[in-house]
Amino acid sequence: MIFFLQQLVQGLALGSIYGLIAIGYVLIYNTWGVLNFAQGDMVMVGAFTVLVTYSMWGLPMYLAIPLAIVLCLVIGYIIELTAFRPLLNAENQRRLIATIGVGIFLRNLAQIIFGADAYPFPSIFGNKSMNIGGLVVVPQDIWNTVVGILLVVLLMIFLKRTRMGKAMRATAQDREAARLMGVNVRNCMSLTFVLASAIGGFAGMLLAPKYFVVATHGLTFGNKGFAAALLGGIASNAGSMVGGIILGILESLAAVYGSSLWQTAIAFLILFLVLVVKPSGIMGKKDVRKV
Amino acid sequence: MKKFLAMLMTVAMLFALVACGNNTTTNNGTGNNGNTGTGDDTSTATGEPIKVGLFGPMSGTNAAVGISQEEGVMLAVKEINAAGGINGRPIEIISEDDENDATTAVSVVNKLINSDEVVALIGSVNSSVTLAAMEVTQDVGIPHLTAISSGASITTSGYDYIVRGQASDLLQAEAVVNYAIDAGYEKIGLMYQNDDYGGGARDVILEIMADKGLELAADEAFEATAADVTPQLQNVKAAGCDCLIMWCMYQPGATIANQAAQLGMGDLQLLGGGGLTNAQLYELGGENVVGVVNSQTFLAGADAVNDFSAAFIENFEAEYGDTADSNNAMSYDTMYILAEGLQYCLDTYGELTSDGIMEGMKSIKDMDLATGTITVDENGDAVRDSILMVRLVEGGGYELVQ
Amino acid sequence: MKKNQSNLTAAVGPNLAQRVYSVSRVWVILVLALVFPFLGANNYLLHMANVSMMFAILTISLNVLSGFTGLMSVGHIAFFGIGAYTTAILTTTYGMPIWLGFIAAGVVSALFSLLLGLPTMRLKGMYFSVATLAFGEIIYQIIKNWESVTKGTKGITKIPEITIFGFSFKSYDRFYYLMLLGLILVIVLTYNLKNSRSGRAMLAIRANDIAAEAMGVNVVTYKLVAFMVSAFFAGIAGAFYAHEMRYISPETFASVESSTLLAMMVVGGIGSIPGAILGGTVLTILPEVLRFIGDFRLVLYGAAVVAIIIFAPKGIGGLIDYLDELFSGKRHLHTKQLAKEAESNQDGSGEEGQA
Repeated sequence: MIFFLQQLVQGLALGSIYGLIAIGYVLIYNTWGVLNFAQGDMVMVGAFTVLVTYSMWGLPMYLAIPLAIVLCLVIGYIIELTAFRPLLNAENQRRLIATIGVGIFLRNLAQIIFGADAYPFPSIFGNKSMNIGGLVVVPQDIWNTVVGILLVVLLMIFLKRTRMGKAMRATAQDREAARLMGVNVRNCMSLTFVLASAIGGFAGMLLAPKYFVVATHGLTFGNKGFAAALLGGIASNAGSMVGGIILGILESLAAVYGSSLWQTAIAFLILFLVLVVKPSGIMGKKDVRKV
Repeated sequence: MKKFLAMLMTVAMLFALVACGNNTTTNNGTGNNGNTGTGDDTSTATGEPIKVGLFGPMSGTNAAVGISQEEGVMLAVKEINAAGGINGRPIEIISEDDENDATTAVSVVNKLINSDEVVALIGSVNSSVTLAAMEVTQDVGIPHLTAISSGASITTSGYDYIVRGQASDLLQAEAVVNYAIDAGYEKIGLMYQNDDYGGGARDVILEIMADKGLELAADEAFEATAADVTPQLQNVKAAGCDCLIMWCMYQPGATIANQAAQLGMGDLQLLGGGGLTNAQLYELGGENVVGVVNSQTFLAGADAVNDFSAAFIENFEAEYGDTADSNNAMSYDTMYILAEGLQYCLDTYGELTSDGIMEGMKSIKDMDLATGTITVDENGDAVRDSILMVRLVEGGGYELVQ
Repeated sequence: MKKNQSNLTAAVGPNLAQRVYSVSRVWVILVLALVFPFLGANNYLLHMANVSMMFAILTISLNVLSGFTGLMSVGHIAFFGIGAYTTAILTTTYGMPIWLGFIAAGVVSALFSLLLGLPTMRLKGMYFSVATLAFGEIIYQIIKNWESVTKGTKGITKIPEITIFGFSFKSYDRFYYLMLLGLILVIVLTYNLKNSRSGRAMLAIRANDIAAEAMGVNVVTYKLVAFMVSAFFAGIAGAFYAHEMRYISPETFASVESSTLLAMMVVGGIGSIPGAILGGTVLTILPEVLRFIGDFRLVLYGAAVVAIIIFAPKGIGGLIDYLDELFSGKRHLHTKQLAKEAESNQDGSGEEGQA
């Protein structure tokens, strides 16, 4: 039993980061109507920005993280300006490929600047494990989960309660109608994009202490994040966190009770089955099918 | 149908570019290779150069190993040329980037053979890339040496033109397993990265264990890029392993060590292969990797195995201002193995032929090289007297345990 | 309107050079392709040409799906891998003849596309793309992990060379002609498909699938057919790859490689067949030329993909169309026709290089 609970704890820790990455996909998909394949690479960018501000510039953590987030916002804005805005009315497949191009660009740029090797990053909340009634728990993991879930809740409150958030939701639902209602649609879309970039980047900062900082993380975590987004429901903000946690736990259980050789295949098989059975995801409302 | 002059022109231009654009770094080891600190720019070899092709990943995630390979080979070439080359003929290295990709490797090997007309080739890093290139070198019948690839199938699949400087997975895995058994560990677990490096070693380990009538207590795979290996470690823990062989590169090695420590598995003895040896392992793993024991073919810090090795360590330091790693040493030795073959061929036949060079290399017996005393067997494997076992100590250094 | 146009053409009319061009263009290219191995091409250039043609087939295959029906496969390399592994396993483990391996490569690939297509064809475009991505990852894992059949991470060595009635196609020049034949067959089949009733139905689906459905086009069936044809071609390309390399290992078929194919299609121009051939060729050869810049190559690659999408949505295919029409006298600079064409191209989302 304790062995099973331990799997759940591990799955929860990893899954909440997946969920945080997933919410970036969800935000951008709902507003821009495109699956942003470069979102995973924003996670990598986030990890590198905090590496620069903390490890290289030597700023204290309470300054390093906010500054890194600001850098992510700026980088996100540049991406939006150069690769998303010009294609707003283009065909979906062209936009999709453009995001893949952005991902390739970011990944290899990071590799040129920082090299292919991994960088260590000190733990913010402590990496020494504690033993709670037989369960082994690492403080960093607990905080990752707490911060991850808290951020999603805050985001949902922001979207539901604030004026700005309402405008963003209106834009996501119907751009034309929002414009008619006097919402500055262009600004709302930009804001959503940079917000998603910053959340992705923040996820990168959370995972840096445990999983190092390396240029290929974008691919590794990006794929997991977007699988989580679809699992939970691409239209649902809360769903992405649920999807992330489910994916994290499933992965953990697949390796322990199934076969570690087939761990990755099992995760993608589940994603595939969910797509076929319920494309709108676990938490999603029925998505209107276009033929 | 649509027909297209423009298409034709573009294709023609591109092929013309490929044909003419000789973007290779031609280097005869006597100059322009970074810091020529020793200042022996005066090569005494002046005859018609002997061209040797070198290929490996020079860009992308594995570039560091490709660069190590080039450093080792270039140092050997520089020394050989300074000492008069091969019967007065200098060796000229033509280096190409294979991007760690099988298809690209076949392209560059064809380029080296056909456009540059090299007499022999050295490369590559990943076993699967080397195997793809071997299909070409076998067909053409041109000597092909690999300095880094350790996959067992390279020398056991009946290819006639391959010589390997690197110690095969077979030797390394055997050394590690034997070490574990001799040290008295009873429940041996294995975690391997799921690619040709890890998977290849797993087969060998299973075979050796079976020969000794033993079984692995845990046998777990993980993706080389995986960030989280705790589920695998949980299984190792549940199996009650007292030692874990992790057959992977240094970065996943550090990941395993860190996450094992977090799971409270600090008592677990970690073992591994040559892929673990890298300064990065300690940088990423810190305290958690201290005490890791792995197999190695070369250790600059230990007492040199022979005079040749001592000279290499010193010359490398002088040339690059850095301590040589095992990939440097392997590549350096591989170049010397080739030089021996070239020398033999010229002495015996008076001209360079592929079969003559191969005959020369395969007749090498008890040759003192940087990584030990080497004999090349009939499969082309450089068999050495011993595989080292080294332990990582406090501060990131290594000590010899066997 | 029609009258106007014919008057315009009659008034300007193609001159002799333009007519010669119109009649001879295919044949000139074909002859040049046939004599290429005699123009001093060594094995290196021949291998590059073979790989280019292989990628040309792959890009055309992706175009049959994405260019014709608008469905986007982001895991297309999987079908290439299925083809390569099918023939490699059949001809090495089971010692079957190579022609059978080739057919099986195409057929098994197509069967897998049917398997994938049946449950996913009704999904919205984006979900379909994600399903192909998951599929690509699953196939890669199967290739890598099903060791008893695929030899796992070690890869399959000693794949036999192609021989037909005892005549070996092992050497690069002979393989070149075989590959050329394969490419020509794929091109002809694709043009026939595009100009057939089914092809027009597919293009209608791409333009607007709801409207197409309303017009009585069986959208799902046509999408499935396009998908299967596409997978068949990709499988054949895989068979060519396996028998040219004679060694295959899983990394070649990793799902990230699918983005190379997408880039080739984009550079060539989505939907354009000559563009697909050039896109495949250019992106095979360009890295060779640019190798000396090392890691910057891939950064440029990413930036170029984005730039082409934004600034040249029709890719090379658009350029070819333009030049072709110019040379054959169908297009005249500074005429109202030009403006009109541009206009009509704008409102239809169809960016395909119309035949």
